[in-house]
Parts: sequence; C-alpha cells; structure tokens
Amino acid sequence: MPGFDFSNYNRNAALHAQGMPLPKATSTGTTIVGCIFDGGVVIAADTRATSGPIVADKNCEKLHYIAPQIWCAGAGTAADTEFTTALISSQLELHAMSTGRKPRVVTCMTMLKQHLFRYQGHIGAYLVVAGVDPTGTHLFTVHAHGSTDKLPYVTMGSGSLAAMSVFESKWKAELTQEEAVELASQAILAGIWNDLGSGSNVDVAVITPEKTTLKRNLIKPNEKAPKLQSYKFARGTTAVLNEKIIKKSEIGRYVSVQEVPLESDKMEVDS
Amino acid sequence: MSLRIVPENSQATSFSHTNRTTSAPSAPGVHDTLRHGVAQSPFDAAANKPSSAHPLEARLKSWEATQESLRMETLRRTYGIAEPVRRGMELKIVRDGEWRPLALGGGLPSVHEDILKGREDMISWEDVFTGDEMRGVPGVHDEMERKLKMQ
Amino acid sequence: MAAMFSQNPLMNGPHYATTDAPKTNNYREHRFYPYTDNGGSTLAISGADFTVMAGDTRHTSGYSINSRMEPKLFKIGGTTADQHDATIVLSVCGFAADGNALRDQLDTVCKIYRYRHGKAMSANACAKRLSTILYGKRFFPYYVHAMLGGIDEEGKGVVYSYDPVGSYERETCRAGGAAGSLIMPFLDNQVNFKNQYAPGSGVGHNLQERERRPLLLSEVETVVKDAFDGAAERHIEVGDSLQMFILTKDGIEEKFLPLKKD
Repeated sequence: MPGFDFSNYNRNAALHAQGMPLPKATSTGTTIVGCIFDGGVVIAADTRATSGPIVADKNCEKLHYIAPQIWCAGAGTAADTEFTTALISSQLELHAMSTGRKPRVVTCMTMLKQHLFRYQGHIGAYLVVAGVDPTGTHLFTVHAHGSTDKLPYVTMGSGSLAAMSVFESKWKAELTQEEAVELASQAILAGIWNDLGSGSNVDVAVITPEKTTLKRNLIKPNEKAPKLQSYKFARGTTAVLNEKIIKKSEIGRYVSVQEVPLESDKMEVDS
Repeated sequence: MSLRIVPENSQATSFSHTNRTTSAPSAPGVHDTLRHGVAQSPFDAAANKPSSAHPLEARLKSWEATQESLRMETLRRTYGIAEPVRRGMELKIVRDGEWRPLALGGGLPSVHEDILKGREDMISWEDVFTGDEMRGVPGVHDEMERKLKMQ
Repeated sequence: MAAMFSQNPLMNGPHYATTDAPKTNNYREHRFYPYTDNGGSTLAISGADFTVMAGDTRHTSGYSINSRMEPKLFKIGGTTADQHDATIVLSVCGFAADGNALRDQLDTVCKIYRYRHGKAMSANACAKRLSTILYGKRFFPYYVHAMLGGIDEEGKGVVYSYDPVGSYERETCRAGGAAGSLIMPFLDNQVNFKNQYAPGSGVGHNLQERERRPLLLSEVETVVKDAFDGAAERHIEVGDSLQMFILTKDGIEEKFLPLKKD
C-alpha cells in the first residue's frame, strides 16, 4: 500500500512498553512571526534548530518557499514542516497549472489544513502562511491538528509568547514596509533572547504585489566569541600506529579503474 | 447511506502478525522474506489491510473510500442512482483496460483513473511514497496464478 | 487558538515520545515529583598553587529563563555572612533550591567548626563533611552535582567533585551540569593532555605521551572561558554570564565575564 510506512509501529510500541525510549525528532523549538503592512506582508523567523537541549543547527532556514508570492514559516518537527511545505508547494503548482491562474493564499491554507487534519496532529507542523495574490494580502496560521487563524499579526513556536508581547505593545494599524520589518525583527529578537528554544539570527521575507524579498540573516546579534587561544596541535601530536602509501599508478590493484576519454565528458541525455 | 466526512474510528484493539498470507507453505504464520521482501507483501497491500495497530493507519487507509462514498451519496441524492452507477461503471472499464502486472508497476492508479476521480491535479504522500523500494516484486506467473485462483 | 498549544515541547510539543508514558496494567501512575532541573554548568580546575572554580549564571526551567544572574558558586565558611575571609568555594549544579539548601547547611557546619575550634576548616575536612551531609539524605537526595574547591595544607590547589549521594573524589579538573559532557572531553585534552603525543618521540606504540605539567593560572583562565563559550554555543541552558572564583593562598578573587545571551 502506498503512503507512509507503519510496519514498525507494533514492534516499536512493544519495545516502548518494555521501557525503551522512542527516537526523538529534531524540533525547531522556534519563534516565527508574521505581520501585514500597507501594501504587503512580512514574515520572520529565528535560525536555531534544537535536539533536546542541544543546538542541532545554529543557522537553519525556517522560511519555506510555497510559490513565488507565497511563503511559509515553520515551527514544530523540522522534517514535518519541510516535507509538508514541499508537498503543498508541488500541489499548488499543479493546481495553478490546471486552473491557469496564479495560486491563492487561501488555497494554500486550505490545502495545508485539510492535509494536516487528515493526519490528526501526527504531522507536527505549525505554520505561518503569508502571501500576496490577485485577491489581496493574506496572513494565516495553521496548527498541526488543522485549525487556522486569520489575523493582522501572528506568532508561533516556543517563543510565541515573547514575540507576541512585542506585537501587543508596539503594533499599530498603519505600518510602512520598513516599520513592519523592524517590528517583526524585534518580535523575533524577543524570542531569541527570552526563549531557550530560539536563538542565533533573524531571517525576514517581505512579500509585496511586485516581488518577494528574502532577507536571510538580516540581524546577526549572536556572532561566536573568538577563541582566546589557538588550539592547533603541533604536527605529529596524533599517534600514527601504521602508515601505508598507495601510489596513483598502483590504484588498479585495489579498485577497477577505467580511463575516460576526454571528449565524452558531456552527460548523455535523450535528444 | 450516510454522509460521513471522515472515516469512523476503526482502530484495531488487537493485532496479530501470524495470520498473514505471506508465509511459506512449509512454515505457516512466519513471514517469508525471500518470496515477499522485507516489507508488506504486494498481495496484502492489494487487500488494503492495515499493517499495524496505529490509530492513524486505519484512518488513512479508509480515507479515500470514505470521501468517495460521500461524493457518490451526494450525487445519488441530487441526480438519482443512475449517476453513481454510471461513474462506477466508467471506473471499472478504465481499471479493467489498464491492468498491468505488479512487476511492471501495476497496482497504482492510472492517469485515466486519476482523471475520473478528479485527482489529476493533485499530489499526495501516496504518490511520493509508493512503497516499491522495500517490497519484493512478485513474478508474473505467481501473480496470474493468484488472480485466477489457481494457487 | 494559539493558547491551546503551548508550543513548549517539554509540555505538549511535537515530541510524540514524551506524551505517551508507558502504562502498567493500563494504569498511568501519577506522583508528586519535587525536583526540577535548573540547567547551567560548572567547572573546576586545580593548579599547583591555585584553584579556579567557574559556572554560568543562567537559571532556567523548561524553555524559560528565570534569571540571567543567579550564581551557583558560593564561598563557604567565612566568619561573617559576607564571607570576606572564606577559603573554600562550593559549586552546585542541577536543582537550584537543593543547591541553596546544601550551601546553607555546609556553611553552618563550617561556621560552627570555626567557633568550636577557633580556626577555619581545612579543605580536606570540609570535603569529607560535605560527603557526609549528602549521604545523610541518601533516600531523598539533594539533586545536585556539587564541587568543592580550596587550597590544601601543602598549599596546592584542590578540587573535590561529588555525586548527588555523597561519593566523592579529589580531581585535577571536572566539569558538571547540563554541558558537563560537552566540556569534559575538552578538559581531558587541554588540562590533562590526553590523546596528545610528543611529536617525533618514537614510532608506533613507542611514541611518548606529551609530558604532563600543571597549567599556569593564565592558561587555566583562558581554557575556562573558551570552554564556556563553546558550551554556550551548543547548549541552550548555558549562557548569560560566567562567574569565576580564583582561589590562592592570599584569598579568593571573583570575576564575571560575558557569555552569549540567546
């Protein structure tokens, strides 16, 4: 049967009942935000990925491409946000080609919520969907169980409370693009400083009817402190118990070598 | 006939891994890896049986069928019984004309079937994870013998 | 809607593994659990005539920072509450409330000793007494990784490190707490020169190990700062400030250095 593979579920459940811990997925314990301004929408994210208390990636990308004018910020299980946005991106592309129209943000949001609802929260993707389409500017949040919100400013992830505190104190109805970028960055920074699941840099994407601008690492407030001394070892510090040199001319003894004529370096393709 | 949108909770409370059809004749109840591969047998897959007691798997397995029956029930109430019957016949004609051996990638819906179901502009995990990699590919003879109930 | 999911993986986040605790006979057992982990890391290195104790000052619970300046290193056994003439430093990492209780108890013991005997407790005696205190709560332990630093009777630096129920050992260096397992291999290599050989001193198994020598104070301070910078990069519960005590025969010097705050 095509689809997800459940064949190890019973075995794993039995092992878990015996006390064996189940494997833990990399989570983007995250701060992601979105904010509508006059003439577009901006979304932003921090760049820390964690695995338990350990930082798995100090500069990961949490802003995902859906369509040229629709982008997604993802929190939750890293793999789930990545694969879900990729699948919906493909589906939206097919849908756009089938209908011959530009994809709409509501379509994307509906596809996401229907997909996630079918999986009953087992796909742990928490998303902020933003974009501009022929019907205007839109901003949504989608939760893993399939519920959605439509709001002028949104936050999600473990740093959502810290980020929302910034929006609740500084947001106003009329914002210029620069003000919106600044406000979203400040909200992400609140998450970076005050939430342990968030950290490192600020990524921002600005979507207007004309174009999408991805500002990767717009703010880098957490540069690594330089080491106070060099940890270079003198040559020969590592013990070498055995040394063997294989000359290039003798490599044929270990692997099969085939000379490739120079002119055939082009890849063969169907004409 | 109901207008159910999501499948009812059909999660099995117990699960037996010994009553499978993939055993060797000499060792009933034991999955025969040499004949059927490491994953679920393609013959089991055709029977659409859940391979686990996971609550999600039973839901996903009956998802499409539930959606289809909702669609057909709506059509019946609107246009009468003739409409779902006609669609069912069209599907059967297309399926019967499109049979391919499992060894050549059979078992998956064809383009025509997708169009009749209104799925030609959709992509889902079932299209990405076809499950072909882990599964043993049955021989044509084996498949035909089963199809014609000779085995 | 957003409030329905706290988004904190420790509570109900996307980790499917944490929510379904194993059940026995279909009953899930609920019980009072008095301990929490307040994160942070500590580090102690003893030299020829000094000891350096260090720890970060972040105090956490779950994904939240409770305080950016909550030291886990304490001077012990001075004559007064300000500990100006103390000679011993205790570091506690793990459950901060237990750490504070342990510090108060050990400090009281040291002060009573001082009044009874008219002299400060030696590091050696204090170390044994701390072990006894910890073992006294063998069946309801202090949830801490404790370390004790001082100067011994010969004027050498000493570090004692403890498990939560009082097993202890004198060591040249030890890292403990959340990032202990990240820092300890670095110390093995940089303080004890483990896995380092003298270049050109032999062939194969005849290769000589790099000669061990006690580090200078300046070298130790550098290694400590670099260790904590590295730990703050990769462990979410380590950061904000580095508190460092330098113990010599002349007394205890305290230093604070900045760490990453994200």
